[in-house]
Amino acid sequence: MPQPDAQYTSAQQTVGMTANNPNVVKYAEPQVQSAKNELSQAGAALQKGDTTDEDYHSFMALRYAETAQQIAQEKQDQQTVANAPLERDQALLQKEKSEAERARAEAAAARNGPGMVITPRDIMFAEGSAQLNENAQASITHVAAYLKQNPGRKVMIRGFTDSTGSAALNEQLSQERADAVRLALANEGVDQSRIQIMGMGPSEPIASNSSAAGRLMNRRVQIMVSNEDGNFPQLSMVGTDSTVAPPAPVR
Amino acid sequence: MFQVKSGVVLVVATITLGACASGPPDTEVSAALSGASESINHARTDNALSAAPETVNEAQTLLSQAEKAQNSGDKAQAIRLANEAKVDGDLADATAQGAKAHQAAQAVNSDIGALQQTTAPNR
Repeated sequence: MPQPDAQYTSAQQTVGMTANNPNVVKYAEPQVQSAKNELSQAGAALQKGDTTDEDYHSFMALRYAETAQQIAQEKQDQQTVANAPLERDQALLQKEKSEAERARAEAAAARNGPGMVITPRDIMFAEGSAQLNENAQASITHVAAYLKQNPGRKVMIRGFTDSTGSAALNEQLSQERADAVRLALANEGVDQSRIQIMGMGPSEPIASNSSAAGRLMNRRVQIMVSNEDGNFPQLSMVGTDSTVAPPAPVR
Repeated sequence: MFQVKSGVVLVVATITLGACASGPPDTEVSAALSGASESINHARTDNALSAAPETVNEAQTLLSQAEKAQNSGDKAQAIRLANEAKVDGDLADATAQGAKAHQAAQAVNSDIGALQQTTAPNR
């Protein structure tokens, strides 16, 4: 039997691969048939030793097979484009669904979440005074607006002093500072029943009491905002004791 | 005078014989040639020169060779070459069409992919 030449061998491989690919057969049946047809004519020419015909039919077989592959690829791509609106809709639907889920989760977290603790930096007090400074109003307005938008939430205002002065006096002073903020919020229209106050004296300092600047920082109020269920944040993170936080005891 | 006439007859006879011996009818040759050039033109129209320039060039070369073979009276060779030119043209055209479809599919896929990316939960 005569040896097949390179042209024939290459055609044989490509046609074989093409005819074995179900996608190509599905989309380019006529071309696959022509390729097989030409290949068998090339085989016949090979048997007869007619290299001219062998080369010719091998070339034709190879080109038909390559064309079949291109057509199949094209049809598959066209299918992708045709399916696009559907896939697009599904992706959009999925997107909307997960956005809605996220919004629901965020709302739930806001409702059941830990609430928050704010220490307004612009509310400061002179030594021995419970008088709100001029700059305090911005924070007050802000908190009041927030409480109006979130009618389920309550606030607990805790007043603090620096460490100078007697314990009894500081207790009293810190209570008055908290009360000053309560009054300011009430003036902004926040219902009194939503506000609790507590005098903390010089406890839980946030700065050193050995400098004037540190003492100024310690003379402050802290506003704890509850979640929608009325629960105040756990105070373990701010390091206080169990006498403070209703209704969640720390420790 | 007679001798000259017989010479003419002989020449005519030879030409006729030659045409008979080369096999396929002229119509088959010209059909193959026009099929090839149609295929190449079609491929060019579909922008195959940018998608499959080598295949288009090969088709063009084969077509020129087919025309040469036709002119020199080798009809069988002319048909073969024209057929080869035609399948080359068809392949170039399919390649160009395929490239177009592929581009469209890619655009669609990246569009949908972008949508799906925004959908992925961000944790």
